[in-house]
Parts: sequence; structure tokens; C-alpha cells
Amino acid sequence: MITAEHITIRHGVHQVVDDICWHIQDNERWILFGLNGCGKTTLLSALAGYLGVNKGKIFLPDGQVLNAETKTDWRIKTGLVSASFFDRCYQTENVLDIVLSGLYGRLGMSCSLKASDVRKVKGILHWLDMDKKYQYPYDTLSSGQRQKVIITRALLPNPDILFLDEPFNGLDILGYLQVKELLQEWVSSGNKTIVCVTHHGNEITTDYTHAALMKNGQFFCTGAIQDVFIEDNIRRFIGKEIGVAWQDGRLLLTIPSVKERRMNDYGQNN
Amino acid sequence: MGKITDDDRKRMERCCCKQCGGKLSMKVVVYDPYGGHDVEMFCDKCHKIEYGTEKEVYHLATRFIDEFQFNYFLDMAEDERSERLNTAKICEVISWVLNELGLIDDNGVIKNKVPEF
Repeated sequence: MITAEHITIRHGVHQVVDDICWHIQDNERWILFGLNGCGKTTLLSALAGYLGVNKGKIFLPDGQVLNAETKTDWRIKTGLVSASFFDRCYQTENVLDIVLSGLYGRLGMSCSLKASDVRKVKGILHWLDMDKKYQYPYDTLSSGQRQKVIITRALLPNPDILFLDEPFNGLDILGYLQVKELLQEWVSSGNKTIVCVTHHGNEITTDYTHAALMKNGQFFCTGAIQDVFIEDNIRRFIGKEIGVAWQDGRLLLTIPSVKERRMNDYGQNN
Repeated sequence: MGKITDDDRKRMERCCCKQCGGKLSMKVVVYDPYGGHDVEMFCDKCHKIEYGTEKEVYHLATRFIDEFQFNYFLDMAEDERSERLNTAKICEVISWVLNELGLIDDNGVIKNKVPEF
């Protein structure tokens, strides 16, 4: 469906994404996992058509290369959810304009308000308890409310693929459950593909089919999710003692307690 | 760059910001200093991406707010910002009415036309 071929993205002299190759097929659900600053958000922004690459190519499902000409149409077919990204784009723009811009693949509106579009927006925002906020400026919203706005923006065009960058960040428990339900409904509506960045083990479930571990701008390991999240891989990836287990289809990551570590150190010293 | 059409350019010339009435311009909005940018219609005064409204509509909206002391944003402090947001809200209402009456289209407000009820 989407193929990244040897893509490199530089920030000055620093290679944030370094020669990455990635094939994402229809209906696959990927977890992109890595420590802070390893290039996940940059990679996602590039795949979603919001950031150019310095080297390599991204091929779209129709075989076209993602570039300045094709990016607007591609953005309409995909959805990007990234608070860290959209916080850089929006300040005083109002919620309705931001959400509707998702229909045009731009950051701003490109058409006068249509009643049918506004109804759709209000439908999603109502589900997220945000319908009273649709006229408010972005910078008056809490981080959880902003997250709901950009999720609504991403889902409005009913895209084929979603790029989710820590989609549950900032949400309270009710917001978390509402967004989860909304995403599940979207997934069940057809052939949908997800690439999701998360730092939290409990958000990694067997609902996802594949995983990629990213380190220093490169892929450390990719494959089927239950083959990637195994203790040996994760220990080598993080470089620390870490326990990995699957329980009821959910990943459990644990580190030794302080007491266990003291006992180990004591054992090693004697 | 995002797709900027001739209609966008005409709109930029013809319309104004629906919050402050300021002039619109085409701006490169840089969201990533290392290659992430789009061209969007922009209000320099409000420093925001702005699709704008017809100048006639904005003028009517400011008069309405002034004469009726309209306030949609009851949970916000009554200050310059809430006044701008209220103006934008009324601009949307007036635009909708004019559109329903066939008095506005993609080229702006149609003057000297008898409204169709």
C-alpha cells in the first residue's frame, strides 16, 4: 500500500530519520515503538505528507511518489493525529476551521461552510463531549480537548490510513474510552490501516498486527507484533533489564524493583 | 506547497478577516524549520490562518454586535478577544442568510438583486 524506500530526513547535520525502508500493506496495524527523540514523529509526519524527505522516496498506493504535487490529495486519504505537530500549526484558529481543513488536505479552510460538513463535525465532537467547543480558539482548549480536535480532523474525511502519534496523550479516562471506541468504529468500517506511536506497554495489544522498533533514526527490528515484543529483543533494544510478557492480548513491560536490583547488586558484589 | 487556486487568490483580494476585519495575505506557514511548510491565507493582525469573510458581511456583523451587545461566548471574559469571536460568529450567520437568499456566491456579495424568499 505505502512504501518508504531508503528515506533520510535531516535536521541540520543531525540525521533524524536514517535510511529507512518500510512496506505498509492494506489492513495492517503497526506499532512504532522507540525512546524519546528517536525520530518517530518526524517519520510519521513525512509519511502523512506534511514533511519532505532529504533522500529516498515514499511511494503511494497508486504508484505515485509523495511530493509537493501529490501531498494535498494524499493528506485527504490519510489522517495524522499528532499533538506535538499540530500545536506548531495552530494557535488562535477555531475548532471548526481546524477540523474542516482535514477535508481539504490543508491547514486552513478552502471552501465556505457547508451545513452537511458542519453536521458531520458536530456529530463526532458531540460523541467526544466537545460539541459546545466547536467555535472556540485552539489555544483556549486543554491538552485533552486539543487531542480530540485533531482526532476529529483526522477522521472526518474517513481516511484509509491513520498515523497516530501518541493518540491518547492528555486524555482523561472518559476521553480515552471515547477515542478508543471511535477508532474501533473507524477500523471496523472497512479496509483500514493504522500506524501508531506509543510509549505505553498497556496500549500495545494483539489488535495490532506488526511492530517496528526505532532507535537513533533507524529501524532496530520489524515484524509480526508478537515476534518483535519478546524479552531478548526489548532488552537489547533498550539496553536494560526489562521484563516482557503478554497477558490477555496486552503487553506487560516491567523493570526490576529497587529491592530486586539491590539484591542483584549485593549478589554480584559477594 | 498546498494547492492554492485562483479562487483563493481572488478571495484574498476581496475578503477580510472575519474576526478583526484586517487584510488577508498568502503566507508560507512554517511548522517545521527543516522542510515542513504550506501556503495558506493568513491574517497578519490576528496572526492566524484565516479563510475570511466578505467585507460587507464583516461591516454588518460589527454593527450587529455593537447595536445588540450580542454575546455567544458566555463563559469567556468579555474583552476584545470575545468581541472578535462574536463578530466571526455573526459573520457566519450573515453569510449563511445571504447564501440562502441567493445574494452571495463565489465572487462575493451580489448587489442590486431582489432576494428570493
